[in-house]
Amino acid sequence: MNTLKVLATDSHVYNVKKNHNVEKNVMETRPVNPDRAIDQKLVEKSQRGDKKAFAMLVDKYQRRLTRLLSRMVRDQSEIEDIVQDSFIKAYRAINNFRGDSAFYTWLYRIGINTAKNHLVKLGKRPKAMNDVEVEDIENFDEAQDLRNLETPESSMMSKEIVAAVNQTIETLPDELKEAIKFREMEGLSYEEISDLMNCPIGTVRSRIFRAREAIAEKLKPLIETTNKRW
Amino acid sequence: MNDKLSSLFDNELENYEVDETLIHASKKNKKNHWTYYQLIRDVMQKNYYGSDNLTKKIISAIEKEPTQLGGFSSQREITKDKKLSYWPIAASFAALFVVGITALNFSEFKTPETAILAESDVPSDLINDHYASASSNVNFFIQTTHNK
Repeated sequence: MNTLKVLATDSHVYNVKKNHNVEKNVMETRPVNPDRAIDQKLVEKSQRGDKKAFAMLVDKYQRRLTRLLSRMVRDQSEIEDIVQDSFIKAYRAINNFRGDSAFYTWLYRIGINTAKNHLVKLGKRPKAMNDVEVEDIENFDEAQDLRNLETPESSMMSKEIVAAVNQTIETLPDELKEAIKFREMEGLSYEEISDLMNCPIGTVRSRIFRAREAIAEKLKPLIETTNKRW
Repeated sequence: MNDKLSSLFDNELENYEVDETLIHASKKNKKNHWTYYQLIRDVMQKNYYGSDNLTKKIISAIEKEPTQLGGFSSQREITKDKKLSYWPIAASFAALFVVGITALNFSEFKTPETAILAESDVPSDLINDHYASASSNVNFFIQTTHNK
């Protein structure tokens, strides 16, 4: 029998009959790059003067850009300056972004050029890019070792936050825990999750939202404390 | 409304709800939910490291920047308007061109016909004499200047 096995929790294994028709429809209706559609909306709002929309893009791509540039620049404080400069340059040039490429490809190009210029000014040579050239940006391997980006303080903070998220997930009711794991760890769509959990899409939507809100509630005091610390 | 923001975050929101949700999300304090959702995702995908301070620094720097207005989408609308405003001018030129061509064709075809008709009514000797004595004739010009 053609089944899809998905390990949701330690105790649950979902065996779901693969429905090729449903899968085909999902493939046809879902955009090729879902992120791109949201980004385009946020860019358009930024172009109309909405700085909060641009801040949402900063939230989304700051860590990814930092990771990418850490392959070129060794010094952590320099990386942070370059990332900040890159976002400011992107904001100043946002009206020139025409949506020919994905926003993050455009942003990464700005980041790489900013890093190169920065290193040239300092008379330094960029670190080897490990084949992460601009053309390969969209296939950039996310599984980068992040330890070299952490300072002692940020390391402590990140450990606290990671622990809070993981502990809160474990305390969630099973249906919320499974829904959020399917979404964030397996990257499944709501429709795929509804097939797996045998419930309506609206229920999936609600479960994921409730799981996020529960985790966010636990994070709030932690984030506020760390903000004061900074 | 935050449930819609959560769906938007996953790009699982209907198109007609996107704008309204983004407007709501852009309001003060609402961005925090987006920030938390991103943070949770980064942690769960093991992409998180303590960089919230950098995010704040960047957003604070952006706040100090002059507001960007007149993006590509609005530029596109302006270009569309400009294109529309060129139409009457282009139409006027086209009309002038057509009128001009028609007039030229009329003169090209009609003048020789009338000339031929006129020539056929006048004896050829008289016409030859006329050409020979006309002031525009080169010979006449040479003769008159020479006689002086």
